[in-house]
Amino acid sequence: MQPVDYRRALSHTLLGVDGEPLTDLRTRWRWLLLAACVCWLGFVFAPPFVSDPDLLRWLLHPVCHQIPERSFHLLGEPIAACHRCTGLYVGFTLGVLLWPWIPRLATKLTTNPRWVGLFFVPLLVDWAVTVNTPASRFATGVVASFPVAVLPLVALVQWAGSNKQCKQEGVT
Amino acid sequence: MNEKMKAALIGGVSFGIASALPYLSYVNGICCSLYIGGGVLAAYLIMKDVPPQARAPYKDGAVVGVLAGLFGGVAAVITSLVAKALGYDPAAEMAATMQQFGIPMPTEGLGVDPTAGMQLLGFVMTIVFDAIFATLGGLVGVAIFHKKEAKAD
Repeated sequence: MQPVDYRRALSHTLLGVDGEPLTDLRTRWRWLLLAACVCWLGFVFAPPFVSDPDLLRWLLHPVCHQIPERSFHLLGEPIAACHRCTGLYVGFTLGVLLWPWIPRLATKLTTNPRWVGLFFVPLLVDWAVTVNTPASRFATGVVASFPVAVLPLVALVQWAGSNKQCKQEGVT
Repeated sequence: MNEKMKAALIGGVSFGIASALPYLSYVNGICCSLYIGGGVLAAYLIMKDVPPQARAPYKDGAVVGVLAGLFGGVAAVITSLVAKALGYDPAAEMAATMQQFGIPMPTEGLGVDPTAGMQLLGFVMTIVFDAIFATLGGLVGVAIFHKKEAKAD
């Protein structure tokens, strides 16, 4: 049985055309996305290490309720996001970092992108039940956002591909 | 006005206004659902008349999402300014409502009376956050509403 070339399959999924040059999610632009994600996580975890943690929390309060009892604490100081939001941010960052290295799963997910919604089911169940724990809130956040990270990576591949095409057309 | 711009305007402004309205703004407490929702609606509007195709246009989803976020952020800022002028303070109201349910809200930080400079920074951050989350909404919207082309065998 001939082994499946997942990189070629992924290329077909991303570009939708047979015979396109092999490509994958490892564009240079993903590093910029990863850097942005790491910066965001830096903001979230920074309050214990800055002189005015309230200002940092005030800046991030539009995106999270930041209830101290529902947030992780570092050095006795609550960070700037709740357990669930921290899980979502960590999962997304891990996704941006890891999806380019697991093309087999990325292919499956990009050919059935609606599966992304399925990973939100544990989060919704955990949100709906009243007996959730910090670990369950964090873990379901990670599970929900990890698959979503493949979508901006695909958008970056398409964007880089169209830029390349424009340049080639400009030359010829 | 092209279709993408129109979709971004409808999706962004409708959810942007909702995110600054009394009670409705609480929905944003669930992982920024309203910001994300603006992007999803914008993506739906550009995808609804698109025929089935092999490639899901994630790039278009991201573009329409970021535009929806920018429009939505501006709409949210304007709506919150109007609401504040009418004496409505969403942060204080949310804290009071949460305390009714026995959930203590942080008073530090939210309780501070921000200076004009901080207010301006807050508005800019609202627009930036809305753009980030609506972009994700646009991408998720394309993933949901993309119609796959049937394989010709």
